Amino acid sequence: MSPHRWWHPATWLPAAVALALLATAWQLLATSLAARGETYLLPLPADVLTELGGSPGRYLSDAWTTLSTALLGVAVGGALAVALAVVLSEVPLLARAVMPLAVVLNTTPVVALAPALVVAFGFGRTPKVVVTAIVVLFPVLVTVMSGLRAAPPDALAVLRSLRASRLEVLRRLRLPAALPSLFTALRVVLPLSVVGAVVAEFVAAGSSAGLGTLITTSAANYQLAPVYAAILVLALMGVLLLGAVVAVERRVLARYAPGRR
Amino acid sequence: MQALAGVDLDVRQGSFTSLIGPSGCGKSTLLRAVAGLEEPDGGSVAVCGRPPSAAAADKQVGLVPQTPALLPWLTVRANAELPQRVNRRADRRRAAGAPGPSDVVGVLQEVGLGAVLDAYPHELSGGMQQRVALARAVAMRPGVLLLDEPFSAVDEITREALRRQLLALWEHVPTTVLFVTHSVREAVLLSDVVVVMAGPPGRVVDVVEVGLPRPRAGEHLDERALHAVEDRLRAELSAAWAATHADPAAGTGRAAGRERGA
Repeated sequence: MSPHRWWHPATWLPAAVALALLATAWQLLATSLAARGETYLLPLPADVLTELGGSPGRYLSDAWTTLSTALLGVAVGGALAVALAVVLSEVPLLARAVMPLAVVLNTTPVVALAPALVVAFGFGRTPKVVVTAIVVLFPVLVTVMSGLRAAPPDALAVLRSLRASRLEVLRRLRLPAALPSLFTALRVVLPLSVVGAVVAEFVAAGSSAGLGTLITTSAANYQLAPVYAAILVLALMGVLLLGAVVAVERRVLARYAPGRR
Repeated sequence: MQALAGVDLDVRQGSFTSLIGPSGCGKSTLLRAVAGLEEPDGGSVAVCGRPPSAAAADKQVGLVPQTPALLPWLTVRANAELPQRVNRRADRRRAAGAPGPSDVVGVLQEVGLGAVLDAYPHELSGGMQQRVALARAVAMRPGVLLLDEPFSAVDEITREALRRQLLALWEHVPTTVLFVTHSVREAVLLSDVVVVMAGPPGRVVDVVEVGLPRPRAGEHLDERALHAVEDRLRAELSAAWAATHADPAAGTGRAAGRERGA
């Protein structure tokens, strides 16, 4: 495995070229559409950037609203999932009872659940956090459970031959051994949580802030530039989140799973 | 699947006993039964006169598995101290006056790991990792020390060094050793008694007293006597192998494991 450093052109150049090509294609398509008078299909990239630069404070504050909802959802759903994973991996009978329900919950489109949650919890932040937490719960539960089960059998045999209690086995072996799985789950779940938060904002009409709300209200008023500006901010947010997890993951796994990557 | 059938074996307290036999003959299963990790369907296993689970609850069972099974997030010293950090009730129960666990650092120094106490397992070679596993099991002064092919993954030169260190440790921390190996030579070099097994299902073919004086290294080693024991073991192994594979019905019967580390 060659160490890919971000400052090497081989690392960033392909992506930069692809991005430049995409922007050029967007520009060409948007100008040709505008020339034919079809301005409601695609805004010019320049218009989107102008919109973004024109009121950065608004985008930042809306981004923070959505991001904090997403992170709160990850915290609540993730903590619940880890706790549930620990309990279910220790009590197989309970796992056989609960896992089918979790699968059903996972295959249910959460969007369909969101209006009911709004009715139950009101238009505030709560239903949005609940939707995000539900989106996050299943992937973390499944991945962490498999991580807890994947503790090396020989180390498990040593602890069992010492008659270590289940709590001791959990604390000394299973939980630390499941850390790589937790990070795998977080890498999947953090971008997903932004999707959950935005969808919740779509559905919970009446809320006044958040990028999801900005998108729906702007679209309703035929303002495409703010819609795309919000999408751009969302994309950026996803990338930053992913980068942050990977950075923390590297540090933690250097200690808990050295030599893994 | 039946792994063991008709194993009737007494292991002398304080002796070094090797279990030898082809793959799948139930050596490891027998070891796991002594460690209390597996319950026999029939028959009984006794460690120091008690059921394996009771012996394990008192931390009388030292296990060295095939892989070192070190925890990657703990230092060498913390890994070796692991047995002393879990199941603290056993330490409180230990009769007053009975020898407590040895000084872990001392044992680590004895196996030549004094300079890497604060290193992490991934910084060590395979042989060094296995020495940590050995120190971890020995430092708790177990009544029985169970080794499941502990040296199978290291090269021959390292293996010889590990054998020497195992014997040195056994001298300082006397315990009953049960050692599973594939190597006839290793079994003869190390053991007082070699148990020849065949299967599946696993059964004891013969129990051979090695009877060679110790130390068995360098100029002290009587190569001719050693070869004689080796030849006898090899003959028994191949005869047992032939019998097992010629008659598939051979050796079936009720599972009855009886094992005593008197």
